[in-house]
Amino acid sequence: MKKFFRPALLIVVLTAFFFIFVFFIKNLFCLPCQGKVAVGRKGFSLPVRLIIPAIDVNAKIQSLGVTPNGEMEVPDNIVDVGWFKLGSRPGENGSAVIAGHFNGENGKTGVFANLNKLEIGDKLYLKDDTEAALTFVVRDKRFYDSGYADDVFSQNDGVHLNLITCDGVWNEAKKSYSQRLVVFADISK
Amino acid sequence: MIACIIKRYFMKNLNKMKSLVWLLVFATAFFVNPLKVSAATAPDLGAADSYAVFGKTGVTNDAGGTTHLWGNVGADSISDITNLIAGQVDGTIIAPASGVQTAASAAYDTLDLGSQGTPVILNLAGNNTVTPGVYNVQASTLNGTLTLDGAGVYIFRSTSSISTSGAGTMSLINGACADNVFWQIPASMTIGANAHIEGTIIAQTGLISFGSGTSLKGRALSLTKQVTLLLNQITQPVCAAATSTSTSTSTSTSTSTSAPAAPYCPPISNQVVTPVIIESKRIDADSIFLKWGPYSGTDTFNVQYGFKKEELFYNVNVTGFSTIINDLHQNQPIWVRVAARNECQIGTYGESKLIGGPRLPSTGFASQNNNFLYVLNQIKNWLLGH
Repeated sequence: MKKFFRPALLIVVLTAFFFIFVFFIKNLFCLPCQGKVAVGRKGFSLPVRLIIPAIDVNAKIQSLGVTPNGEMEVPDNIVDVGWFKLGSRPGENGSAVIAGHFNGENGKTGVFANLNKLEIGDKLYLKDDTEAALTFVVRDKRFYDSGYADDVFSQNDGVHLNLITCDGVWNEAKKSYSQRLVVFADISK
Repeated sequence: MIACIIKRYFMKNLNKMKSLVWLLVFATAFFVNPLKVSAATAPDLGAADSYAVFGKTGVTNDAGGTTHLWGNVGADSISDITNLIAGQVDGTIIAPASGVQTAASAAYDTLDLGSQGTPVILNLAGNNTVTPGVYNVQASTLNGTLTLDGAGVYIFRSTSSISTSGAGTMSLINGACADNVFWQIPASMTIGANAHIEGTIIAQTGLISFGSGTSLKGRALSLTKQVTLLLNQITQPVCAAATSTSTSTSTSTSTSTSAPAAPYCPPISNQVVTPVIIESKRIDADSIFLKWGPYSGTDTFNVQYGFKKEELFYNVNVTGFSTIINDLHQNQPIWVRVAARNECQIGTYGESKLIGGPRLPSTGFASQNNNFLYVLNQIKNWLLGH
């Protein structure tokens, strides 16, 4: 009996240690999981990471400008997202805009493939390089035709974060989807 | 016995002792007393007297800063006065500021007259104490404390641009007054961050640039260029002695010696609401349309814009409630804000807003998993060996 009891006890203890270790690591590195994200606009520098627990997004943020033909640039891969650096900075009064791929050239799903699954009230988190974080809450979802949409970039009646990805049907001639999905979020108060 | 020997020694060397005493007196006068030079007279500033700041080609302040000016502010054109609102000026923003350039230029010439006396060369570096007179500061940098000791006129002439460092400051003592201190600068004057200067600065061909937090008790008058401001306080060069004199003289005397009245500039009514941009759209690659409101008694506005939120370097006056800004950088959005204005001053700007944003990005590719036609196409290509 003792012969079996000791190894079994050892396995139980090791398993317990493993779960404690996993729990510790998860809480150490998973900011939104802690439920106590440090929210503060003062001192928030350039955003480096976007975290959306509801659709399992934890992406690096690139800085984007404008293409020669007047479109907002897109990230150079499908796992990162991109902040429009000519517009408002996250945490400032105005609309900070972040775009992410819906899918990739190789058919893989992009970081914002599930953006349409976000619901009003879902939370988004932005982190800067000092680990300071901002929390935003989804207010609205809207579809736009491809083209200009000043209200996505220019709304300045509060601190906003707007996320963009493609939607609609693929237009082979234009090499683009017919619509854009924009998720509007406001700073959490 | 000893006293007798000392007495005989003094009597014997009396002449030598006298020489020594005179030498000591001269040495004391030279080394201990402040630098003394010939007397100078103050020029008549005329129409420029009531101005804290005049820049012929403009006055540029930092956006949203805490600059405050006690006195009038002027330029040739109201559109060249940027980021200064009426609330930052305890005086009037006047454009065109007629007669100011001519008056200041005449004062500059008066400061340069030979009759002001022979200038003494003065290196502003370090700590210096000077008495009233004319000084040639060449192109030195004021980086210590310049003490003006005594009542009278001080003229500091330069041969070039001059500057101050952040540690540069001035101290006026024993009756010295900022209203009697003049800086005659043939080129530009750059005042370092947090420095303190006193007197009337007249720059002939260059800018007068104030560093962050710099204070001036006096006037900054640029005859041909701009005055640039950054979180500055410019106060009037009021002299304590002059104040007491004016209170003791009769009313008629006070009136005759007071500064010429500034041209009347009607205030912007309190009823005027700060404009809000309500619509904007890109017209083409280098043109952007914007519209604002509401109507609240005026239809004249100043639209200020730039490529960064903190750098609204351009502006245009508009009559009406919309405009198209042309000749912009290709496809670059701009930050814009609007304020009501009248013929001589600008009201409070609204919140700046990014307009002319880019087209929404294309973040997708043809689906390869769910598009049946795409799969068929791939099979066809495979069969045909493509």
